[in-house]
Amino acid sequence: MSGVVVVGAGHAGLAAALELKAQGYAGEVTLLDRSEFAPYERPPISKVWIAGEGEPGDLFLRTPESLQESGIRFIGGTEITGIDRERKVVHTSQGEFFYDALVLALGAIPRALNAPGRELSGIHHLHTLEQAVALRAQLADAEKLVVVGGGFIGLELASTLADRMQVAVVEAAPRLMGRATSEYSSAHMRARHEELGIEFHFGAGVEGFEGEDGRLTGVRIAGGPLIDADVAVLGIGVVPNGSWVAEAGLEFQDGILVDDELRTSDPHIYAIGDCARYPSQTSPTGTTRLESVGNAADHARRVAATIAGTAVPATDIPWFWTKQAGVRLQMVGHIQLVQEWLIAGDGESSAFSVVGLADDRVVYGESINRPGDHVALRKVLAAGAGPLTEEMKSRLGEGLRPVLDELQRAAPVAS
Amino acid sequence: MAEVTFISADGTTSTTVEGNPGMSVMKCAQVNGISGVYAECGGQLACATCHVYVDEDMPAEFFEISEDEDEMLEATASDRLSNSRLSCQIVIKDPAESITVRLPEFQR
Repeated sequence: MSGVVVVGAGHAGLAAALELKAQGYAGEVTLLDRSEFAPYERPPISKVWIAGEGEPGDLFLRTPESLQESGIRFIGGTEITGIDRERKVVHTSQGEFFYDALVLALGAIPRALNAPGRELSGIHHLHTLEQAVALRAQLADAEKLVVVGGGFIGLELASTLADRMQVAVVEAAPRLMGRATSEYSSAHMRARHEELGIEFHFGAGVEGFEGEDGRLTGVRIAGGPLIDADVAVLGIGVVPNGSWVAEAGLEFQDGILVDDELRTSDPHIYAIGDCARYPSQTSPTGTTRLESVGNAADHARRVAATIAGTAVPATDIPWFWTKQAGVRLQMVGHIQLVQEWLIAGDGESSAFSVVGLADDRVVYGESINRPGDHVALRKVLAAGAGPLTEEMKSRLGEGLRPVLDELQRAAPVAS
Repeated sequence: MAEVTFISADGTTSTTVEGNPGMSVMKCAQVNGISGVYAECGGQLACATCHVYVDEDMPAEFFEISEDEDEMLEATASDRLSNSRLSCQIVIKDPAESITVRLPEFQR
């Protein structure tokens, strides 16, 4: 029996392998990854770990030995080179692996920034643990950091390091986290970061990097100033891995195309996590792709159940979280559907929520230091609760929970 | 090394693992492959999928919760009881300590 081969041991791949065993899958489960590290946890990399003194091992989710005990064969340092769908075999740098089912959990890689001087030492991406180790070594004696990109990774890193060095953030858009949050949360977070002394350059592109003796000394803004920098980190988004599957006859369009069961056009091959583009009724294009631990966990549970032949759980409502400048920001729902924004609680305070409505129904919400609001939003979204009345909207300033609890009680199905 | 004992949801099996001071009960479960603790957010009080029931005989300090944990505990998949905790917030303090928790039936 060939069993299941999972390629990629990030949050999606590891969870799929563990969940297959938890669902009682009797065949062999092989987990391959290009990294030599044991499967590790990603969210802390851009937060506590990068500023701390911990070891890479502190981030390991499982050791290869404990995986073995769970019936999972983990093989690190393995680069995938192709698939032979006819023979159902994966070609890798460590030889061939036969499969009954193949799960591609290939993840994504940071978007490249090609500008003059890019080859200078001191310019980093922050996505893998290997990159984090290299970045942390150079941050040790750095005094000036420039972060290119005002998204989650860049802002988490910037606020983590702001007490140790001068930090500037360069963002092409007019506001922070423009793809992922409302203008209200964007503005609130900007103010919190500025309190830490972080300097922002909006609407700014990088013209090039300047250096001396091969080492970075500054980042030049197009039509703008030269910002002094010992270290620069590029956090301008990611692109999904796996474009090579096209050579094996599978479709790739900004992600490996899969159906509702996360299956590619080959019934034996699945794609999950950051690299998978799947059908979505809430997206204008009809498909979507998400980069989050929540999405990875959701896909892992569903693909494992499909392969193991057990009951497939319902799709999770997308949720995300970030911690920056001491603020916990939690998001849930579909931001692209929002027609109307309302503030719940005191928007001038350090803890409030922002609710997104479409046809008066809650479709999305984000909570700043309000975990209880986030929990209530999740429940209301899961229950598909009914529309807010004008009277309810007028009460949101007093807080979100009473209004959502009222909606929840009237909802057709319990969460 | 401190000891952490996980009792299964149905009460039929128990597994004891070792942990160092500073480690959370969630992390102990994770690295030792205790199934039934998801910990999707990695211990940041953002997901409520590392819910456990602390043994009733544990000292009072094990039942003290922060306001944020209190709010996130409202999101647990299995019923919240008076001894409910998020295991990412239970941190081993003493190398001689021994902590016992029971796993809930569901984490999501």
